[in-house]
Amino acid sequence: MTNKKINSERAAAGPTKRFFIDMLTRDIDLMDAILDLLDNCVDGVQRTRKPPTDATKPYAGYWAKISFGTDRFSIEDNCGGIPFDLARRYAFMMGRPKEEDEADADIPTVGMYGIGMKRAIFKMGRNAIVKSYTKERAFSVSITPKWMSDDSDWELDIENIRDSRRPNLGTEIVVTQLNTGIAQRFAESGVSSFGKDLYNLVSHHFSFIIRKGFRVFINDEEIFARQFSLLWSEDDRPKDERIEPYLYRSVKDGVEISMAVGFHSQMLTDDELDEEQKTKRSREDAGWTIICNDRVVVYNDKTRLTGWGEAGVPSYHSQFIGIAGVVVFRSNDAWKLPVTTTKRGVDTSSDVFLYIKDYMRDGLKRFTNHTNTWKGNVEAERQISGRAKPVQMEDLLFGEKTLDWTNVQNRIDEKKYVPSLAVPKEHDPVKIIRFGKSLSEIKDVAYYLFEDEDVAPGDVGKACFDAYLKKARS
Amino acid sequence: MSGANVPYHMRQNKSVDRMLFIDLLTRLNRYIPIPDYRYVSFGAAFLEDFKLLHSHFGLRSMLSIEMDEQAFLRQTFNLPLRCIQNFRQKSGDFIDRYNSETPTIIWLDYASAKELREQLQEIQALVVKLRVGDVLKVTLNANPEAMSPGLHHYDGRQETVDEKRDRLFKQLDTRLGDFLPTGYSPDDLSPIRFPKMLLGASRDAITTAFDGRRLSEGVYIQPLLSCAYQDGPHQMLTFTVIVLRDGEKNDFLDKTGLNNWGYQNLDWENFNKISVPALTVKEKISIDRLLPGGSAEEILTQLGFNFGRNNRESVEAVENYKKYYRYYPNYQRVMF
Repeated sequence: MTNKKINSERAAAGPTKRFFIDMLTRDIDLMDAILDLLDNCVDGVQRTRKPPTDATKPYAGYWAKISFGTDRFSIEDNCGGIPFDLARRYAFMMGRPKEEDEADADIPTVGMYGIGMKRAIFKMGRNAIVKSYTKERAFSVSITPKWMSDDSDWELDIENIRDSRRPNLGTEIVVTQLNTGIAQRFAESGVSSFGKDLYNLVSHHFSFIIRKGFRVFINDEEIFARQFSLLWSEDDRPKDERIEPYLYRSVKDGVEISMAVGFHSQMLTDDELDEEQKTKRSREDAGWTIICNDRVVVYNDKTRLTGWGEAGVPSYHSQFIGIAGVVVFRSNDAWKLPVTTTKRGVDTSSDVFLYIKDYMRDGLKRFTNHTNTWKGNVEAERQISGRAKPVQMEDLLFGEKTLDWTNVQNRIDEKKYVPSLAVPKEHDPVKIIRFGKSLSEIKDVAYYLFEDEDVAPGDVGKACFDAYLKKARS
Repeated sequence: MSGANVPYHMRQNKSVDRMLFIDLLTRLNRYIPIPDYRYVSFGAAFLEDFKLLHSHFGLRSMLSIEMDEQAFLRQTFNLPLRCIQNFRQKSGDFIDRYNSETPTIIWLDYASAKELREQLQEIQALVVKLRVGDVLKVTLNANPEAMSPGLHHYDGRQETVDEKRDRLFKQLDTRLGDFLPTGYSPDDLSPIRFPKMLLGASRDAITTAFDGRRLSEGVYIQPLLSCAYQDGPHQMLTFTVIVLRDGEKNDFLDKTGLNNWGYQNLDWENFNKISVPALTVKEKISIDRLLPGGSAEEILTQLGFNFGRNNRESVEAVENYKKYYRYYPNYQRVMF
């Protein structure tokens, strides 16, 4: 760069290091910066392109280990390392040159901009060393405080690592001289909540990848992914006593799309609903999860972003806590995926996302309708949904089960499965009895009936009614 | 609330927990002026902790909170000191309105296991309002089965312990949401391990809530003392923390001498397991004559009988007594 040699007839327009180090890092949260580093590990696995031994666990055998403290951050993986040629040409550039996109053309990566690693390093500290152990050679690149403040030096030395006895082929990044705010956040658990927050974030956003065999450790603790499953009644249940998911699959403009939405858990009883409204849970498994090339970019969203509260779908409410959906987009061309630069959101203007959103709402509406239909008769609904079995996400999205698919507008590569959902028996409709009693009175009756005054008020009311129903009919 | 009619003053393990708290405050008094503090707690009918704090430190500003009408009337009847004010209020409402300029010791003495999530949310709401030097003690129900009492059946038969722990763990996962600490499994729902999990949940709830203040004001929450004990059917967990400034820790530990106190828990990992046997006066006197220093074997030989079902349990009971005997309560029959 020659921004220091200003010609009298030309304006200086080159970049400064400060721009990258102090400005660019403001746009990204510390946690997202660390997720970027994990994305690089996963892209490394894709790049090694070894055919997986188990197709359902393509990441088996690969891991990444993150550790941090008040004086240093490190991430280490066994995902193949940064190829030397890639390091030489552009891995350390600020942004990936257009012509280099070809390098990963047929690999479903999530890395696009070529800024993640550098941005993460600058975000955290002033000194870093990146070591890469590849099949061909082992080398390291140091990013020093001096380099970070020198606007005339835009290259970094690659040094060979002689002693390459390291058993794993992979990358190791160590950041030291941490920025003040960062060091504070990296304080030990019990003082800082950072470790726990990062654990949760990784367990959400890498859940799909972890389920496919990848292992992630934070300060030596392994991260486990939460299960995603939807209820599906067994085949022998009649049509009007079934709970099933809504499914959709298609290929659009080089993007494979698969979607499933339904009930991940049963409807809440009235007393559970009361408790939920009083003390809102901070984690809910309800809502939409969107996955682009295995990376979760939206987790359990319950807003208009994913179709709640628009075009005839009601806004999210605790009574819909059992409804969950997942959409998976997959493409070898990362630019076609509806993902934002931070990989923590969908690009709402993307054609492919706008198109699929109609089906997301279509699916969602069937389950909000079902919930509204059975409201006030939850007990009967729970009898039906209680017999349905959880089916895991992989089977929902890619399962080969023979189903009564409907082709969308007679297209061969676009189909949906419209579920049969239970309907209440109309010949003896259920009505709600609602009344209030003082807590002390409810406790007295609860103690009389159950010898436990903490029984849920709804259950106390029902027991009273059932006792008199028995008398009335005997 | 369960246990409303249990005579708290007769529970030897709870009493040890309370005396350890007093001992802790005595040490804190070398660093912060405890007599100038305000004390807030749920005093119930006996107001035992209020009497203790007043007699040890002469606290003059004391508030008791009670939600239940009858318990409140009974408490009002029993108020032992003029400096105790009692309010009929829910703890959550009290915390919502809490805004104190006076240094304060607060004891949130929760009992119900079913309201754990609400309790953790109240603790979160309170810690962000605490001032540097404020002391918070919390009691939580650490009996995993209390979350969902009663017999449960599985495929037509009574469930096994493993099935029960799976069920309770799912329930805890739903109830606690993000408060569920990482790295725990249904196996941790045994009575021995559960307090640690609960301590982890409290740690996460508190550090998450406090992180904003920690980063902006340079203050943090320092754990001091944690105990698990069981007198009746319910195991309880207590923990006490203080708000300190960053960099103050060493000076604090030097001046209070907490580093050398055998009962401190300065991280969120460990806790005192208080499980002293109920002793007759004669037993207590015989054992005390061999303390400090006497071995469990020596004591058991002297007594000539076992406390538990076998020798191992007996040794555990005596070891536990040896650790806490200085805090062991003496109960006498008194005629008024």
